Amino acid sequence: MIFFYLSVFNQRNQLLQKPLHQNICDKLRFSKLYEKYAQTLSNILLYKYGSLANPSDKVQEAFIKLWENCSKITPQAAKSYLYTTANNMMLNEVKHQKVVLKHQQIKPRDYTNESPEYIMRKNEFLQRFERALSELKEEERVAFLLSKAEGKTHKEVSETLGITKKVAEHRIYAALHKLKDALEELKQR
Amino acid sequence: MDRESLIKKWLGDTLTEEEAKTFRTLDDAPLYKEIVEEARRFHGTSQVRVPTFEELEKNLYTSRKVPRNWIRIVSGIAAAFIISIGLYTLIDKFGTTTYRTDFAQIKGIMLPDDSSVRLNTLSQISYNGNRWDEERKLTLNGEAYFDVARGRRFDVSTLNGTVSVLGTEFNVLSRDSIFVVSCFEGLVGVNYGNKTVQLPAGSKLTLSAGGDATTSKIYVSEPYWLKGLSVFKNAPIVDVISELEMQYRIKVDYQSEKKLHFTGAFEHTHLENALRSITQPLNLIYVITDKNVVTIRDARNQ
Repeated sequence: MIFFYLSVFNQRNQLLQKPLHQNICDKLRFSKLYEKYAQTLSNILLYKYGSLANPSDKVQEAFIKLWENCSKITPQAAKSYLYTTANNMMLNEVKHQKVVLKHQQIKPRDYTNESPEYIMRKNEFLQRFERALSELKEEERVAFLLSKAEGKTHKEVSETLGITKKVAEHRIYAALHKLKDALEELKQR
Repeated sequence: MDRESLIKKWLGDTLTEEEAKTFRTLDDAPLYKEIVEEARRFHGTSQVRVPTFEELEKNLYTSRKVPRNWIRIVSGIAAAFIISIGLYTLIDKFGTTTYRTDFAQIKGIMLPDDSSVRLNTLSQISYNGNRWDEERKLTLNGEAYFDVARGRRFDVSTLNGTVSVLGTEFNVLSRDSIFVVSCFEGLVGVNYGNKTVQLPAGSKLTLSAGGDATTSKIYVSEPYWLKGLSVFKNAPIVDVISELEMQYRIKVDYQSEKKLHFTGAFEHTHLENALRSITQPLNLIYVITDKNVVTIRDARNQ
């Protein structure tokens, strides 16, 4: 146990001594990158390609590749390297596979006081929602879900995807518009 | 405000109180709200969770140090290699012995085995004494007489060619483009350009400036310079004079217009005798004008 603490201490020390370290070949620095980007990246891939293509695996492979090439990649370039690598791996696998997204199942306690009719309608609603989402344009789905599933602001969405705020806003709006059309029938009076 | 920008503002959560009221009056407002609320059920993290970093780290460890280590190993090997080459050449340099003769100087040299070399005027040999047991090889510039002890191959390398031999006596002259090999005992192999010639005892090979080689007989048992003589046969007078200049370290001012050829010899120990040997048969006269300057001209001019 003591040894473990010592080694961590040493790593921190190295970091302090070399503040201008230009790459990410450092466990601590690398783990920070992982914590910052891994889940976000997995989510984006999921919104793009669905859960069947195993986005989490691709993200891990991309991180392993980043580690192997850590000396050649600056911290600033790491994010786009990860994104491009994982996305390419995904493209190689999925081609034009159908996108499958799964909604979180309704738990009984969500609607304790609701009638069985209400719950039935809700289930129907969510199933249609799922289908409508998979029929959206890829870029619209990603923007919409980043915004409304993850609760990111328009600014955050635009930064994550590397697009302007205006474009992000438009994509989210377009997605909402199409979803409304698909779910129109189930409108509550 | 039109419907689209109203909805966009609502999506971006930037409606004013006034606009919010207008939005609520929209026919589809409840549906929009429901869509946005239910969208939270599609959060990626609830569908696929990436493993913790500790999980990933297990996969990193195998591939972790490999790329770095390779660079280190390769550069280590390269460094060791360069250093050893450097040391080797340095030690090799230390092992090199060089002998040089000046004007009018002849040197006798014993090689690490029992071979001996007599080095004529203005000549130089060098060899590696440390490696003599493995390779009997020396470099010659000028003229030398070799008496080679029996043993393995003996190489004399010159700019004009290489002379190889097993225990024998031979003479090599390689100065500028002049290349003459004379064999007095045994058998000598001469390698020049890309040709090899076997030279038996009592014969001599002369390589002309044009690259042609001629073999001729020799009737002496040793080269003349060993006895302190320079011997010529039908040699242009300019060649004879340059040999004289070299042996006595003098400057000769040759004033005759004639293109004479000289057959004979001059000695290396007495300048006046040498001058007489050259001038008398050709009907020339000489005057020693200064300590180191000699004038040679036609006898009739006087």
